[in-house]
This record gives sequence, structure tokens and C-alpha cells, in this order.
Amino acid sequence: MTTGNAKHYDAIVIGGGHNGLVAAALMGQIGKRTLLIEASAELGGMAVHAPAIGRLSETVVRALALDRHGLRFRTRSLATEILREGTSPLPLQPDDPAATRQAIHALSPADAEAWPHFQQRMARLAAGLAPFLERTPPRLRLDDWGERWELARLGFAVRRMGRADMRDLLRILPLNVADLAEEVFESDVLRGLLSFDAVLGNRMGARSPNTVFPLLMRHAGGAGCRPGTQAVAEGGTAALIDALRKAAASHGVEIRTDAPVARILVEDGRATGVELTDGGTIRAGTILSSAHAGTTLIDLVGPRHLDTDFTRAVRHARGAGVTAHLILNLSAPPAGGDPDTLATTRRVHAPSIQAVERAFDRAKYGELPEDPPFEVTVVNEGEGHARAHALIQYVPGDLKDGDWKTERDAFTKRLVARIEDLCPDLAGRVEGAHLATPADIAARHRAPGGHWHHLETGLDQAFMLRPVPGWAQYRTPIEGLFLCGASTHPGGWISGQPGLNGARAALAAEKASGKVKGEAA
Amino acid sequence: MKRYDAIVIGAGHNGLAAAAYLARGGLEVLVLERRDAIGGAAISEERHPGFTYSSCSYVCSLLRAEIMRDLDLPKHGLKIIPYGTTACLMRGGDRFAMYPDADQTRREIARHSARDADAFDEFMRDLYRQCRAIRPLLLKTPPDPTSFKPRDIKGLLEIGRAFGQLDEDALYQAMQFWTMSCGDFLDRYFESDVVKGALAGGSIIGTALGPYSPGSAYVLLHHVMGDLDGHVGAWGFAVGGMGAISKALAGAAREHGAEIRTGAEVSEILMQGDRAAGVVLADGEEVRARTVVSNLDVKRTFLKLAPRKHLPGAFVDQVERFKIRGSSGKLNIALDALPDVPALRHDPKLMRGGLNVGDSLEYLERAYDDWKNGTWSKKPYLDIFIPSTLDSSMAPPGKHYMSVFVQYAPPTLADGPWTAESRQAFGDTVLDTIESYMPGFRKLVLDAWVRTPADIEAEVGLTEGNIFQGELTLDQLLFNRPVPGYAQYRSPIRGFYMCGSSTHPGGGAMGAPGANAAREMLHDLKRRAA
Repeated sequence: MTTGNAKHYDAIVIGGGHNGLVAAALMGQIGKRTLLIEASAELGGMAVHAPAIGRLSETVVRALALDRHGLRFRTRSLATEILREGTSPLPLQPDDPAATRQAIHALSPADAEAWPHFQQRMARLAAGLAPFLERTPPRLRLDDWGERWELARLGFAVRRMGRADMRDLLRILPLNVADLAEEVFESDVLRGLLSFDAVLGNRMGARSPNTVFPLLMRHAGGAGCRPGTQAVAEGGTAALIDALRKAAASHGVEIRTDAPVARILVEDGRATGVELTDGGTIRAGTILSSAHAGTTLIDLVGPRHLDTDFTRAVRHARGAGVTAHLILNLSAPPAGGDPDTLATTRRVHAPSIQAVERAFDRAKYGELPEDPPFEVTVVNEGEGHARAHALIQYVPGDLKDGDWKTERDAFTKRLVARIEDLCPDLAGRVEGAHLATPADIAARHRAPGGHWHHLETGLDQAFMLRPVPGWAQYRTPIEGLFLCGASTHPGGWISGQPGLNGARAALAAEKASGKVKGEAA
Repeated sequence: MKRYDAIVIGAGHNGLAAAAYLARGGLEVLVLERRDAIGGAAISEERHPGFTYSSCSYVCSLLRAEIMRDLDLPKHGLKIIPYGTTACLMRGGDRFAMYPDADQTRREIARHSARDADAFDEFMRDLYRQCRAIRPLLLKTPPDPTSFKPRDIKGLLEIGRAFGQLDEDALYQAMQFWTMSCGDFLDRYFESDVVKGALAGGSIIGTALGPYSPGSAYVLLHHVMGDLDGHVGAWGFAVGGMGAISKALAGAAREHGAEIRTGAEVSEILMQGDRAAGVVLADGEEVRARTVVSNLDVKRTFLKLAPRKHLPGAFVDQVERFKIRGSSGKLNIALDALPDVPALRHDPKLMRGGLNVGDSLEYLERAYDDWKNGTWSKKPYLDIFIPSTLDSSMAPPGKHYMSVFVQYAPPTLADGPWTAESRQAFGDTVLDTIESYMPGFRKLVLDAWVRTPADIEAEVGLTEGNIFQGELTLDQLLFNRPVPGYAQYRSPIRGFYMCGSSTHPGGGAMGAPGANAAREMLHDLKRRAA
């Protein structure tokens, strides 16, 4: 079946996750006839696995006027409760420093002193990183004055931090989070919390070098959040997706769901359109893919259009996920406390550095951890319903012994029991539990490895090296094909920045080629 | 009373190299060594009658050729024999050997994986390309990236130029090399477990990292960037043991007029106002000098020796944070005869090279997990070498000296400090491991001198027994080594310097920290004279 009567589009965006929506909305805004196609029945992509919107870019919020499209924040300073065995949780409230101080003081007076200083330090250093996180990474072509200039600008941005902070940043950036935590705090639970926050989503342990870098990324903030905290949308991440959909629609973007792409059409090294699995083809001069880099380039384009070194680099990009998402359907919102505060607090179980590291050690050999660290957020869905989202750190996608068919129920039960144990207010209210392992995430979102950020956000896969060295500028070896998903810089955490940068790269390329054509004519 | 131009505290190889360069620069130099013998961790000792042990360090590849030339070390008796082969002994009785001849290595790899044999050339090419970029930096003082001084900016430009010679791809690879794990790096090229395991050994030696810890790829580079005898990555053996290096350096220093005193423990730094003016020995003797340089690791230097009140608090904090992690043990073994290694019977020449135990990345990673849990590896990585197969002076005729480097062993155990029993148990773990690859081995053992990290600290003085005087992780390399802002061999105390492996470019019997520190001291003294 061909779609002979189909409209011609300027741009097709593959994937209806938040980044795809951002890219499509921006293309529409600039006046491009844009079609967004999503393989599954619903928009949202992998964002459904993130209850909070960690680093939503302010630029995206403003550029797409998301507030006009209904985006409201439940909170911009998600509080943390550290779960503790046999005693009450330790509350850390970014909006109430005095209460936080008092809470930590009971644990360790030294840590109570250290906490605000540490938050400020991380905010300062993260601000130094901020110029790197927003921009399109330059290439390392030292013979190119434009790239040299960009590198010099970035160097200057870091130098402007001042000598002490710059030294601090250069030292701790490659550090492992356990060392940093031990330097700063004496209590196990704060060290554990820091470790958890640094490794969540990645296949790294607390003692893996380079884990301070993802922690700093978290502190770089976004969505007008207080640095180091996250925002939660009114209505959860689904509401963000809805606002993005409305923004895209308002700019005339057409959205088609249930339309899996079978391949990207390439003619003479140029992307010319897509072929759907139902056989239909849709043509456009620009294709933006927010799907995983490997899926886009290896599965949809295919190695025959790419050179072997590039294909190999894409295949070797590390993206074996170890973060699972457990959804608990609750019969009723937890008793006691204000139901409104539920969604503004996350509860973290990561009692110590060792607890995090032990779980990691099991998972790295494909074994299930005994007591994995996790983070739970309860969302009150109204009418007596509530849901809890738990992010479980260190669940291997492939099990060394046995497989998920046989292990799933027992492991899910074990997790639920542990959560009920540590959160007594949820006990007895869990009606159903659904576990999405990295393998499930991989299958559902066509993201090989099922990594929470598509690809590991280590220093060796960051900035100029993401998704693969030399191709960090959102373009691909296929002319007219651009990447705009979490596989690209600056990665996951629902920033929308890859979508924004990807669309900008596509527009810039179009402009440049227009110029060349104009000159030729 | 005599006043020296420079006092060097500690006669390790870097202290001796610094002394030789300072004396060669025309200074009056005194080296003070606490122990009765010079050499620090580069030492040869007769601990069992008739046997010469390279007690601590055991091979040599990184000693800079420039230093060999500058100080004319061969004239002072240093002779290094390259030992070309390395054989990884496999569980199950097979082996994987690497030879100086690339074709032979390729054939050997092909026995394990034909695909890996093809990948090997590319792997070596990529590795050497990085080595070539880094090597010129070893004998340079790291520039301070936060400084606007002409010297520092020039230094940064030099680094830029060194890397600027790489093309775009190689530059990205350099960025990855400094940040990724050795395991991930090897996974890009190879599929065979043993090939990866054998190549990864260099990424964990002396380091509290596992092969899958990010940053371990650099440690691998650190171990292969030697260029002995024109062969990149070639390892060598010093005739007479590692003490021969120290002896030759001492010879060079003495030739240029340096004095070396052993049995002379420095107990404090003598200050004059805010300047170092000499040292006080344990017996109360005061020795004066215009400058003092410490070859001890940075923790020992600043937390135990230097006067605390002359150090800024922030500096002391940073020194306390500097990671010197004990992770290695050593067994020196006297053998009644050469052991039989069934896996190597087909080619007895392999016995003259390195023998490794650790045949997969997982084997090494699990060994590391034990260390993290505060115990020695129950299945340790071993780097075995039998020097007497190359140098008959190391053992009585027919008998052999075996050096066994063990990764990992913690500086203290989870349940407390090392004891005689735990040391014995650790030694047994190692001997049993060897026995499983060399049946009948234990019966040949005449003497097994087991050294835990705690023993190495007690004897040699290296904090936690760390052979590199500090972890080689990115947060502690180049301008971060040992402490940001003090990476240029100077300390907060005027006239007081550091020249040990805690400083750039780190450990590995290179001599580069000593040579670099001497250059900075000469620079300062010249400026003061002018």
C-alpha cells in the first residue's frame, strides 16, 4: 500500500516521547509542515518511567509557552524522605532549610552544618557545567576556527567560575560519588542518598569513578527548580506530555500514533522519508528521530548505508540499563498526612554506600540484588485512587540464571513486601504491581538495553562523545536525518534539550544547504 | 656548619633521580634515607640465603629513556633485559601467550578467536597512538589551568599541541581513554574472555579499581606507555633486581657530588620564618639546606613530617582526601627448582616471561569485589615473574626466585588489622592458586615471604602500601596530582618541594617525578640567585 494521495511534509519526527514532541513543536512553530509518528498507541515514550521531570529546560518551557498549554507544577522542589529501618523517615525539605537542618541535626550535628554548604557548592559547580549542558557540543576540529572559538568560549565559561571553584570542579568531576560523600558527610544515610542520586538510571556503582558527574547534572536544575531538586507536574509526567502535544498541535503538527516505522528511506545518502510497518511510505526532506540512536541508525537506516567504523561505534555505545520501574496500584491513598504532599515528596531507600554498592555488584553479573535501593513517589489520582511509582536501582535486563518469565513474580513480590515494610502507610493498600524491567523497557520502547537514559551518562559518553564521538551535533552520516532523543547530548532526565537542539540543528542544516543551492543557482 | 643547597628526604628511585639531577645542576646535595639500604620500593635484598629478592617492585618498563641518557645509567651498572612474552594461565589448563613478534601473537589469539586476531592490530594501533600523545607530557611540569601566568599558558598550549597532532577521531578516543573503563574499552575490540582478561591485567595493577571501573583504561595506558629499548610497551628486567636501578641512580648522583646517608631518619623540617631551612634527624642532629625535597608520599610528607602550622588548613584537608589506597600484596618465593607448568610445556621459553593468573574480566572484577568488601581476593590476579630464568645471579644454581605480585589485598581487613594468621591465610590463598596452575609447586617452596599492604607500609613507608603513592584516577592526575594548585612540585612552604610518585606523572619506577621536581627546584634557585 502506498500513500499516493499523502500530503508532502517538510519534516517527519519519529517517536512521540517528550523529546520528539519538543522537536516537532519547534519545527511546526517555524512553519514547517511536520508529522510526528509514534509506534505505540500513546504518546509519552520513555517519559512514563519518570514520575518527576528532572531537568526540563527553561528554554523549552518558554519557547513552546507550555504554561499556556496547561503545564502546571505541583512542586518545583521535590522533597526527599530518607526511609529508615524501624524508625521514622528523615525528611529533607528544600523549601524549609531550618526544618531540614533540625532533622539532620538529630542524626549528626556535623552533617546538619555540612548539608546547606554542600547544596550551595553543588549548585555553584553545576552552574559551571550549565553552558555545556545547554549547547550543541562543538567538534574537535582544531583546524576549524569556528570550532576552536566555541571550545575557547567553553573554556572561558569554566574559567569565569573563579579559581577555587574551577579547581574543585576539575577534581570532583571524574570522582566517584562514594569518595565525595565520605568527604562531606559522616552519616550513612546521607552518604547513601547521595550515592543513589548519582547512580540512578546508570549502570554505575557508588564506587565507580565518574559518578559525581551525573550528580552534578542533577544539580544543574531546570524548570525553574531550586538547584538539586526536581519538579513534578500537576497530573504527573503525563500532563507534561499533554502540554507538549497541545503545543505541537497548536503549531499545526500532525500526530499519528500506532504507526511503527519499518525503515528510514535513504536515497543517494540522503534521507527522503519513512516506510511504516504497514507498508505505507511518507516522504519528507528532513527526518528527526527521537528514538534510540542504535534503533534509528542500525535498525531503521541499516548498516548498508553507513560505514563500518560508524556502525561499530553506534553498536558499542553503552546502554545496558539496570533501572526498573515498578508501578503499584493503590486501593486508596496512604492514610495520614496530607494527600497533596504525597506527590511532592519522594522516598528513598539507600541506607548506605555499601548497600548501593552491594546491589550494583550483584547486578553487574546478571544477578538480582537482595535489597535493592529504590525511590518511591506516590501520585494521588483522585477519586480515591492512587499510584506509587518506584524506581528500582540495579535490576539487570538479562539474568545470568533463569529468566524473567520465572523470576518476575517472586521478585516483584519481594519488592512490594520491602516497600510495604519501609513505607507502613502503603501496607495493605497495594492492589496490583507491574514491574517494567530493562528488558521490558527495551522491548516496549525499542531502546536496546532498556537504559533509562537511552545511553549511559558517563563522562566517556557525554558531551562531544554522545551518542558517538564525532557525531554529537545531532546530525548523522545520512544527510537530512537528525537525532533528537536522549541518546544525544545532554541525555535523559526529561530535559527536552535534545529535542530542542536536534530541531535547531535540522533547521541550521536546511538553511546552510539552501544557501549553497541559492549560490549555485 | 655545612649548609647544603638541597636535602632529599628518602632514597627511593625518585629521590635519587632528583638528587642526581640537582647535583648535575651544580648543587650540593644530601640524600637522607631512614633505612640502612637505599632504594625504597626499588630494592634488591637477600632475604633467604643465596637468593636475591626484588622485594617490592619487580619489573621495569617506564623508566624514562631520557633519564637513562641524562644520567648515563648504563655506565653505573644498569642493564635492562627486555622480557618479551607474557602468558596468561587459564583455568582448564590452556594458556594465552603474547609475544614480541606480532604475527606470533596474532596466531595465538586466533587459537581463541579468529575475529580477535583481526582486531588486535587495530587495538595496538589505537593504544600506541594514545601512548605517543601522552609520553611527551611525562617529563613536563603540569600547567595550572586556572593560572594566567605565561609559563602555565605555554604549558597548556604544549599539551594542546601534543594532542593537536592527533586527528579528530584520535582526540575523541583520547577523551574516552581518560574516562572509560578498561573492560568497556576491550569489549569494543575483542570477544574472547581470555584475550580481554589478559590485556586487562595492566588496568588493575596497583589500583583500587576493577577492570569495569571507569578510569581504568588510563591505568592500562600507564602500564603500556613504557618504551624500553625502542619497543613501546615492552617490559624489562633489571639485572641484579630492581635494586640495580637505585644503585645506578645513586652512582650517578654520587658522581656529580651528591652525598647519600643511610640510617638517617628525618623527624622534622627545620623552619626559618616561613621557609624550609633544613631538617632535624631523629637523633637530634640538625642539617641545614637552602631547599628540602621529600620523596615520601604526600600524606606522609604533609601529615607526619611537615610542620602543620605552616600549612594552610585547606591544603591539609586536600592532602587528607588524596586517595592512597593499598590494594596489592607481594610474595617473594625461593624455589628448589623451576616449577612445572603444564600449560607452557610446549614452549619452555615462556617461563622466562611474565605469567599471569586472571583469565577473564569477570575473574578480575570479582577479585576487586573482595577488596571492596575488605578482604583479599579469594581468587586473586597474579603477576608472576621468575627473574632467575634470565639472571642466574638471583638464585643459587638450579634454584629459582619467583616474584608474585598479588592484586587485590586491602590495607586493613573488614574485621580489623592484618594479623600473623591472616597474613598466613593470604599467603596460602596465593600459593594454592599458583599450585592449581603448577601442580607440585608448593613442595618446591623453600621460603615464601608474604607481604601485605600493611607490611609494605611498615617497611618501605608507602602509605597503605600503595605502589603508586596515590591512585591513578583522573581526579588525581596531571594538574590534580597530588593536590589542585600544587601540582608543580612546590608546596605551601617556601623552599620545600615534593618529588615522589604522589606527584605527576605518578608511579611505576619512571623516575619522572624526581627529574621534574629537580628541574623546578633548579629553576627557583636560579631565580633566587639572580
